[in-house]
Amino acid sequence: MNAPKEQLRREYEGRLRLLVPGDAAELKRLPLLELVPPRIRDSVVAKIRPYAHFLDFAPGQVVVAAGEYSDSVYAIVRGAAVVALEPAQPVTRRAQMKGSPPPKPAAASAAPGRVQTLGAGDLFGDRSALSRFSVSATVSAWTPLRVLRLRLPALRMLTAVAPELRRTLDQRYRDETLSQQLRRVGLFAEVDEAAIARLREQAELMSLSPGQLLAREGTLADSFYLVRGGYLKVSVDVGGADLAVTYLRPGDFAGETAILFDQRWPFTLQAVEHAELVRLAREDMAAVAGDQPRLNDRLWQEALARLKTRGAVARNPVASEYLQMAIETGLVHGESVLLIDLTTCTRCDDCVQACADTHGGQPVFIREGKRYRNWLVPTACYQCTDPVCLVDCPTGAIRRSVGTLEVTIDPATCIGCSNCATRCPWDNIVMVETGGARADGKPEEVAVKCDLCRGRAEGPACVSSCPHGSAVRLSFKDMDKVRSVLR
Amino acid sequence: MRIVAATRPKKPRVFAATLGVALLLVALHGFGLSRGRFDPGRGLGLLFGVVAAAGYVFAAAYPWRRRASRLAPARVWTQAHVYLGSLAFLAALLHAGLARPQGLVATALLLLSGWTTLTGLLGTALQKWIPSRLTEGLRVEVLLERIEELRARLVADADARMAGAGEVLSRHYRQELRPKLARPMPAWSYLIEVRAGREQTLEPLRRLAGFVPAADKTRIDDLTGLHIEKLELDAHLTLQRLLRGWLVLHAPPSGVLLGLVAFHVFTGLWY
Amino acid sequence: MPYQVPWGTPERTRRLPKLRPLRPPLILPAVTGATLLALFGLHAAWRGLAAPGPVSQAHGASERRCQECHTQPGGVVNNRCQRCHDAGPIARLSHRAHEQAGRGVSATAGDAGPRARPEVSAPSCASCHREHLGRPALLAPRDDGQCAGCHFRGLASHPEFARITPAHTQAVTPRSAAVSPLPPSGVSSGFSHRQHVAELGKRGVATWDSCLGCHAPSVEARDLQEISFDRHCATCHASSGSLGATDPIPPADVETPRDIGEFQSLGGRIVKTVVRHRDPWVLASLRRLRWRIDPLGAAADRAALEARRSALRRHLALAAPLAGLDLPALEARDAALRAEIAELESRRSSAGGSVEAGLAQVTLASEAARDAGDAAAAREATELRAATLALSQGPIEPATLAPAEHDARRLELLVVIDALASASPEQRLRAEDLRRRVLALRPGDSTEAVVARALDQRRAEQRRVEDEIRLRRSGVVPPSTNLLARERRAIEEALASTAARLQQIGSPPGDSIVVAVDGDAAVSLAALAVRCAPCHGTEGAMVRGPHVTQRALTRATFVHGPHLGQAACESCHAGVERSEASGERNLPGIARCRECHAPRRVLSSCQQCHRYHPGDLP
Repeated sequence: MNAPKEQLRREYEGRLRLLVPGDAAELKRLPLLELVPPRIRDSVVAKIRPYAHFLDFAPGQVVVAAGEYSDSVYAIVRGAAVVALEPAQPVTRRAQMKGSPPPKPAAASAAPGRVQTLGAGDLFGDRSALSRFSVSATVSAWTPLRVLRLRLPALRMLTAVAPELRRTLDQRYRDETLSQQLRRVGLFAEVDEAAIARLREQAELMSLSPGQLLAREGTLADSFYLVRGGYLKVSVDVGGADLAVTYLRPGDFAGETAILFDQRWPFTLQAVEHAELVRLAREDMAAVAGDQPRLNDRLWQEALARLKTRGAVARNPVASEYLQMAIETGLVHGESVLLIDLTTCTRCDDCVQACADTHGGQPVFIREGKRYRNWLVPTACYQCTDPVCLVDCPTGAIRRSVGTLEVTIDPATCIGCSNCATRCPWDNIVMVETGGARADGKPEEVAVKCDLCRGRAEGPACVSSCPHGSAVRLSFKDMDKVRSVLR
Repeated sequence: MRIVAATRPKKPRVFAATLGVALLLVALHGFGLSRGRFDPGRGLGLLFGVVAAAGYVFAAAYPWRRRASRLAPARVWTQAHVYLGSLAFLAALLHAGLARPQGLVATALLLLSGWTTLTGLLGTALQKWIPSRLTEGLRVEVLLERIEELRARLVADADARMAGAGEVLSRHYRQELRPKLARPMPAWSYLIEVRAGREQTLEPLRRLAGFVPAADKTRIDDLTGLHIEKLELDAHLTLQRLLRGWLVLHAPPSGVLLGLVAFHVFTGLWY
Repeated sequence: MPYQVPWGTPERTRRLPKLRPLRPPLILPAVTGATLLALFGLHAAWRGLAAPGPVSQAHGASERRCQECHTQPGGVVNNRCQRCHDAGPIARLSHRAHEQAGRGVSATAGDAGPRARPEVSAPSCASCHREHLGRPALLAPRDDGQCAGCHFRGLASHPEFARITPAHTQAVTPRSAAVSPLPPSGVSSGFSHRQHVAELGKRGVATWDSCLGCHAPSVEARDLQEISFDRHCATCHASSGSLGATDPIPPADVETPRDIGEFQSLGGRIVKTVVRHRDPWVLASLRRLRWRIDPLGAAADRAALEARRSALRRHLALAAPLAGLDLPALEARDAALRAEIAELESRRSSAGGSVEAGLAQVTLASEAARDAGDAAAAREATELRAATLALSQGPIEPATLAPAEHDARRLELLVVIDALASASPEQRLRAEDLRRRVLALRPGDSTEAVVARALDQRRAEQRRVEDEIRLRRSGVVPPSTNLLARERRAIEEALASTAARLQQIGSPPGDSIVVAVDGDAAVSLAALAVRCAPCHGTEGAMVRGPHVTQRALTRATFVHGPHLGQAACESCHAGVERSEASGERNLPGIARCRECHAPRRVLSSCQQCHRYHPGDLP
């Protein structure tokens, strides 16, 4: 955070080049473009130019840092890079509810450990771009490096017109990432390497567009799905009404009943937005489950839990109503959503005052927002699982560190470009004036957002300072809490 | 039933425990009376006085709850303030021996204690009653500081919709409706019924619908909607001001009370 | 599109306010407290702010003069109350006085009941007499709870009267007719109720109607009139004004007759034919005879009276209130007291003192006797000296004398002092001092105890003088100087009566104090007192009063007035019609009182019968 000024300037200048479209001639020369059929190559290049950038790095400079979010795939044009592999850290429950503990002083960059070198023509960053997970390893330049950065729209366009590229990316995913992701899902945590490798081979990667139905309740269940990116709504049909039961996030799975019961789908699955899935055929999954008793147990546990939830929802549709509302409004993205109960809130603004006290006199949310029944959803950042505000930051001031829940903005490095504020679908990031002036005379601004009062031992100040206990924080994933709190 | 729900204590067990403690104090006082003439200056009477003073000091520490948020969240502090403050008042009454005090300072202490406690309980009642009324009765939810701005926007919106209206409607709007829309009209009746007087206020405009062309009928519907929003803003203005303003009745007298208590303790020890 | 009232805020503001951190307002309590304190300290008139209420009517003049009663810090201390209410040195209103009035001896509160706490020293005046409760409030406490702190909880748990022994209470039940187990009071006369009731019965008066004939109610005292011979007995026993005639007595044994009409001569002896009650000639003759029959007893009485006179003189000297002294005199008194305290402390620390110095006089006396040729006296002096030295060598074990022996020994000492004083008048002052010190001794006292008591008293007085000096210096007006006028009157009256009694006792005939006992004189005494003897005793050659109205209850006040209308005499004093000696107690037990004095019936509070502070002590 307190980087030396010089390095900061260099990084800034490097990232400024993101605004410069790639040179068409240079693009055409890339081996990557050779995968595109020649007759449409020119038009493709013209379309992807605004989203393709050439960047240069000096030896030692970091291209992508672990824990960052990236929306781009990088192709090395010239030079060599090293990849420092770090272990992945799961997000703890405490972090989910209260935010992360105060940050420890930054350790010196780790000893190399396991490294991997990449050369000209190699790709990296595609997994995090497509699945929207954070970057898992730091990639830095070994020699003077020139890379092509392809942002997501360009990547999508290319994969649409170049099936081989698609296959390459899928294969890469399958080889490098699927195992990791499979392991990350608690279900497969204890499965041995060989079984994982088998699953990896048999897995099929698929995408869904918003609103697309994956499975309808009552139809035959024949697949096991793993969610890579995006959100799926899980609902049941109760007396003609479609009641939302829960939703699936990246890392969740569906279809355990297919393996255990050989039955029809007990739920309807529908994509809420663009979703990326991994599909495993029933027979393959059953074979693996047959070998692994622990896996079997876990499947049973999950199945029972879901059936219970389904029963509870049928008995108490109100909670389902809240869930439906959350899915429609996007609250399901949030890991920690602030809700205020208006029947007990005395509009005293103590929450805002406490927020201001924690953030040096500047509150980071307003007690305004959408209202559902007696609950107000103020504009405090929801700490999305899959934040869209992280991409496009020119200075990297907005970040989410690995293993933490909250997305933080560093006011020292924020230049007030308001990209993040614009990208947030719910306007939860606001630009505030710092009091200074820019070079062009306009007032200097920085972006602020809720950071779950990171560094405060008791957790978010808004919740602990409400004199009537009207402010609550919850995740809509936790249906028990939703049922008990939102009534 | 809604009234009952609003007045129910948030933590019934704590409420019952407080009542129990209060009864215990009264019983203790009765026991002390049976043993001899009651004296505020020594023995059991003094103990009640100490309890009352300690309770008042604790209650006065309420504004520091955020500094002490490590001990307990603000919710617990608020409940402690209300319950222990009430018990402190009871202890003060028992310290005075449930008799009318004779000295100037003693009378002032009793009156201020009573006023502070009563206004505090009034505030608690308001804080239970008003939020539920606002939430259940109104659709609009607005910050107090923004009411003026929203009202101005509303008037501008109404002006825009009135463009090209017929003469009857225009005259009515100009003379009757617009002044009402533009002026804040808080009223005490909102405290009792948050939609007070709505039908009555909207009646003239509705009646006008029979005398205007079809195009204006749509305008009348829009104006009705805007007027309803304006009335809801008025209700918010009244009730949110009340929610903030009652503190002026409670906090300054409590400050004076604390000064008096300090003086009373000093003279008791010194003399 | 029709206008819809939005559900929530119509349009979210983009402006986040920059808030000031709120500071809790301490200004109001600080300002209030500071203002009040300033007013309070500035002027005495504002100090009334702190008072919890107006003072009572009696103290109303001091309403605005807080420092007359309050010390800062410290509250109301006893010294301040005593300035006006107990200005003399006797400490009439102290807790010790309460204990003494209750028991006669103090030091232990073990007889005060199960809840008494001996380690708790006296409660302060202000703990019971609460002020600032308004003008009409009564200062004297009215509730039993304060008494129950050390004593019993009330009449229901009150023990039997001390004058009635447990054996007696078993025999006496309410309204029972038990007479014989009644214990004697120690004073008897020949008065028999049975005889008199029977006599009156012969004249037609019913048994229980005859009570009021002698025991008549007195309106002012709310009690029964004191029995007096002239009012009650003379009607029958001295109907002609005379009790009768004496027996013949040798004229040398008696006084010279004055009024010849009342005397007769019979064979060389005198007979007084008209003997009145308290006949002065008879009494004077009796006194003369006493010196011949019981010279030591007469001398002892005389010595005791002299001692009492000395003590009263000192009381009179001390009964000058501090209010009468001006500032220089107060400071002189303070200095004198401090010197006394220093001397007492040195006496306490140097236990015993020098025996040799004390024996110097004895050595001188033996030498003088040897020079005068009185070998016997010289030998006695030498033996005394040797014995004293021998005693002083070994350890002295304190031996406590029984109270009766102690009193007898004390009287012996007083007699010796009296003789020395009359023998050498220049020793008068020293004799006075010694008399007072002998009077102050109590059974079981050691030197330390005596010195400690004196120290306590001096220290308490020094504190009072110091406090008075402080008050005078700060400009407080002293209370009135006639505070102790009543005490002074009482002491002077006591002095006068003591002097009169000394006068009556007279002095021994001749020069020597030791007079041989005369057997004839006893016969003459019997003849002289023949008319007195039936009612009065003649022990010790003195005619003793029958003390018919000696009060039975000393620690409580009982008045017959309110009870006369409630119950007949026989309901409490059952059996008295069969009593043969007036000394027999006819007291009913406490159970009889409880029949009416109970909760929800007649008032049964402690204050009904008992007082905390003793009555006026001379």
